[in-house]
Amino acid sequence: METGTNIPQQTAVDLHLGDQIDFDTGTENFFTVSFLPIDIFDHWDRCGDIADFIATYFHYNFQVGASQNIISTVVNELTENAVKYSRNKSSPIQVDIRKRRSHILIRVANIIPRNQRDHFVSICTDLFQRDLEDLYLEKLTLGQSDRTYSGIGLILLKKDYEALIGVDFNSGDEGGTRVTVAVDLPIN
Amino acid sequence: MKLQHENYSAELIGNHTVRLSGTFRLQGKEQYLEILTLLANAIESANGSLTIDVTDLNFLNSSGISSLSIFVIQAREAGHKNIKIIGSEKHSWQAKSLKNFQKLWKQIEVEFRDAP
Repeated sequence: METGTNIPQQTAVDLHLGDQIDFDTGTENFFTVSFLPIDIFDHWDRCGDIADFIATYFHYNFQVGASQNIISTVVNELTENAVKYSRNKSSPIQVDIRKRRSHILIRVANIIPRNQRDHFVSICTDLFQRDLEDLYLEKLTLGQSDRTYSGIGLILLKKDYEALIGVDFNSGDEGGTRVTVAVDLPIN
Repeated sequence: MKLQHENYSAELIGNHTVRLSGTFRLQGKEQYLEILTLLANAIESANGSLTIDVTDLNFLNSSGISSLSIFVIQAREAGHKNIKIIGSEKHSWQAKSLKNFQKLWKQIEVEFRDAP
């Protein structure tokens, strides 16, 4: 299986929603990992393994004892989302992590089916425009019949973890839309 | 009544307490149905008053939070008496997110065992 040629790359963005996350200025260290969603589908625990590894790697940089639990929780949510919504299960997901002062910056890029783009744009528009408490309760009460997706992962990150979130869409990738979710996460 | 997995367990302790332990990062809400069934049976046999002990629950992903929320909503709508959740602030996800269950049902008590 060809895996090395179709890693989502940074190309021109045709739509940005949410916060502007500066991913370059003043970052102190970084970690990058790329993997195939199909491998996570086959062994779902790998998602948590990746999150735990990244959290362990970065927690040495923080005085806050809870940093490991926070980083692992957030990275796990973002990677779970990327895996669940990936278009082609053999298109790699790329996760970039950086540290800047008391913050962790996380960027997750994956390819979603092009016909899912409008749905995702709608989800993100709600996330950035609606009252988060109202949106959270609505997702839980109206989503009771959806046995697959909770739809509350990003809401929790904004609402409970005070994370800044920006989402870029680019439809120029191999028949799908590249979605890049960038998160600025305070560790406190 | 006990569900035991490599990464987690769900167990009825006595007549009124369900203890959730380990790491719950199941793939989707459907994978949580077995746990919801255990909780539903437990609250029935506890005459509508149940304690959920999550002090040793290291992680719960959003699918799990959503699934537990559905259990809370259904318990409220079924007219059960109350639910008490006992957690630990050492797990940041609990310190940050357990309060959300009270927004679904104001009668829910959330207690942190290690609170100052």
